[in-house]
Amino acid sequence: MESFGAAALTSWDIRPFSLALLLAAAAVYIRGWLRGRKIVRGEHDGERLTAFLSGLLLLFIATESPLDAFDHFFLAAHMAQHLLLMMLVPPLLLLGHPTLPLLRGLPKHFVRGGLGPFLSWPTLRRLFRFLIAPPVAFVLFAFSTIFWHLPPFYEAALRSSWVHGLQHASFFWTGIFFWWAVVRPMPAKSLWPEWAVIPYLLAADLLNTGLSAAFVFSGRVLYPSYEALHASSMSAQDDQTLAGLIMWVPGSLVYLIPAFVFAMRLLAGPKLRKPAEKMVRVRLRPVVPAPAKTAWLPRLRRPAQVLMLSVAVAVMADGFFGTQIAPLNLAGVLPWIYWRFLSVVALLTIGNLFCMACPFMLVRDLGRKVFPAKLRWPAALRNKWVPAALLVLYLWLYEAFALWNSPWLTAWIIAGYFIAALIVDGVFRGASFCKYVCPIGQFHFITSLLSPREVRVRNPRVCKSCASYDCIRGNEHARGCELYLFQPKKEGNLDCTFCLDCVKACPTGNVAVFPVIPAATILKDPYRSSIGRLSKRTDWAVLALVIVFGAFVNAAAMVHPIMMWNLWRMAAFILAGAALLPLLVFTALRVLSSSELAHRFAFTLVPLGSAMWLAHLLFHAAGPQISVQLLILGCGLLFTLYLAWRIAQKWTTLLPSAVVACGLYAAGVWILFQPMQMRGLM
Amino acid sequence: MLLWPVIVAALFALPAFGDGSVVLLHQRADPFDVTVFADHAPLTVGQSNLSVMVQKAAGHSNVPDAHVMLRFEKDEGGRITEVVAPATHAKATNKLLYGAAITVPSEGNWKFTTDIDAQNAHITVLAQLAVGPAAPPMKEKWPLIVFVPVAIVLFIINRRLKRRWRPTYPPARP
Ligand code: SF4
Ligand code: SF4
Repeated sequence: MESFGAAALTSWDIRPFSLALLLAAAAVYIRGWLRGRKIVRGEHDGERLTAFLSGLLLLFIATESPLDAFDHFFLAAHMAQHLLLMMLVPPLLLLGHPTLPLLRGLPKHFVRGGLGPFLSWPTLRRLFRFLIAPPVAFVLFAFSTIFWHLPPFYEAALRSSWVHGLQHASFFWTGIFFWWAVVRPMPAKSLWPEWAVIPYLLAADLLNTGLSAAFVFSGRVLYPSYEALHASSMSAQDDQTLAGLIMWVPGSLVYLIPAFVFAMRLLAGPKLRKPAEKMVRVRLRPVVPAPAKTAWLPRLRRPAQVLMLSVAVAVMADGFFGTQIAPLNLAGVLPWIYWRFLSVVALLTIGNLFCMACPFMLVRDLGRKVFPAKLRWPAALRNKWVPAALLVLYLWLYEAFALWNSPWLTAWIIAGYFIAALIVDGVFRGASFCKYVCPIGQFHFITSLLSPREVRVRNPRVCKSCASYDCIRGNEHARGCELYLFQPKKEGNLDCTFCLDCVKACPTGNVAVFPVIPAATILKDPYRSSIGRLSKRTDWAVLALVIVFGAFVNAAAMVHPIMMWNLWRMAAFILAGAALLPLLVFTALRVLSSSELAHRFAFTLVPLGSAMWLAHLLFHAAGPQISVQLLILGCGLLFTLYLAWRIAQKWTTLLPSAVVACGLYAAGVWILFQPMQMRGLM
Repeated sequence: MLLWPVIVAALFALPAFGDGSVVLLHQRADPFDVTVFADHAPLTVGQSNLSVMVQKAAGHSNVPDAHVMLRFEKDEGGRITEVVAPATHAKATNKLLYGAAITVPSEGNWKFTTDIDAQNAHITVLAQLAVGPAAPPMKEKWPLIVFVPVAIVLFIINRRLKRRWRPTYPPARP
């Protein structure tokens, strides 16, 4: 590092969590601001947006910039940070008149159902009104300013991160209360006459001047820590004088400029005052949820499949003929580390992209030219029992034969998959392999309950007048749905491989990929095409439970002492955890609630299971990330409990499934805290 | 009115200390003044972030181009356990300092050495440091667990408020 100046400029401590929160706040505000402008446009909208974003930027600078890195070494840096937190960030945020944009920017359901009751809670409203009442706000502001600058408390903040956080939070919050009376952000009403703001600001300036003068003229170092550290050639006394001057000059201007503006406005008299803001009402148009622009998606499928096929061939070649050191072999790294992780991320953020780009289906399609499938899949096997059993088998094979550590076996599994897909779909019609055999597909189907995209009809009335039903029957241009999902009766993503054949086949262009609320389909129980009602499908419920419990079993098998168990003990553990326990839980739920509720509760556990898969696979893809993993798991539990509550509607009915979810969560937390075996990476 | 501060509030929810937080030792070793900081003190088994400030003893200006090596040594029944880590500017948030993440494997009294090579001088600062037992992981990560029950409690309050304040239609006649 060349110089002090260079060190000062490069010492950024950007914490991803804080940055994410600031970006989220900015995104919500901008979204709400844009939505607001679709209804009414004011001439100061641009200024408000600029003010709010500048406030967030200064907050970022105060908490993440070199000011933060140097606050333990230089009082002047710490003072500048406090000045931002008390005197600049709060008024700028308030000048953005943030209440309406932030409310508009959040999801409507969340604002109405989640925040609404709190926002209209009289106790909370009274408390807030009390805190922003000018005398109270002033006293709090003055108290926090003086209290935290008293040497014992200031020193305590330098020694403890929690006290330091509390100090900054109290500066920020008392700043917000103080500046509220000055800025009066919409839709707040004015609490005092306008002239009262002038003595209010002048009194604050007096306080600031007194404190600054104490720093400048005290003649001794007030905070011994800075003297002890003595981090540069500047003496602690000079540093303190500089801090006092920062507080005095720019600090005073922050109070005096608005006081001057208010005074000029009052002196100008009512006629010369600025006219009220001009607002233009924008004509409202009905909002129709637009389908995602996906006309190009069906065309993307083949290239995506070809790409995945090339990857699969490369993985098999490396697995058969390359080094057998797993972390150095494509077969040891790509399928077990990256593909599993990315497929879960894609499912949770977009949809079933990996089924869409499935290379096995490409080979099967080519094979169909030689083996035109004639038979229907046997009626007795038209359910999810076989794939559920295959999933349990896979979980056992994975641990027992350390598949992640054997490129050769991995290559054989991929080759076996191609052969199985060719045979099954070479003999049986439709996508029998996807629907009734493939364990990977079942994992994707269940997880895609949480996807934010769904293939569905644009307008159900168009289907009512449809005579061709090409979406399921197919036509000369495209085949119909091979998974027998009839669009007008299709609900959710279950059994949908996102192949988009229906999009291509529908003659009226009535099928598209639409954004949906993740997991909303779990809350409904309509008749679903080719599935029926989920509350009657025990095979589907058990499949969901196997995938959920499998997440915990799979992760637990990577921690001591379980990972040291022999073949049979491991088999017993996997069988008990991923098969018997789900069955036991399902039976218990049936006994404690009802058959219908037990079926529906099984699906509410999917968010928790997916969270565990994601947290676990994140560890392998990106190394230990315990904070993020705990956050993901906690969110999964909350989502699960919310869905279960929506279905149960009564606390007593909710109890059995809540106990199961909390038990799984506790197991998940325990697993995440154990040292986990890092597989597939050197 | 109450909503937006909640979002900003979260920014202060997870205060974190970077390097230069707690002074572990401060020694003058001519021609330098050496201060070693830790992210927490006393040190505990497991990973700690240490940082070192090297200054000229005369004038206290910072020494920017030093080679700093941190070493923990302990005699465990005749077997010497040693943990060594170079401290660099790259690993420090505050670029005036030299930082290193170092994992101390067991509790007890450790001999702690800071070797500094700079400006044609080589100095060694020695100290005995007591390392305590590993902090339970929950101690550090509890906010990431506590947010779950907090959210559940807020949800329960939300339901109660909703029930209490649900508007009735048609409104009762006065
Ligand atoms: S989706 Fe298209 S093909 Fe299918 S029923 Fe509706 S209009 Fe007919
Ligand atoms: S509904 Fe059927 S045809 Fe349409 S995308 Fe899904 S699986 Fe493919």
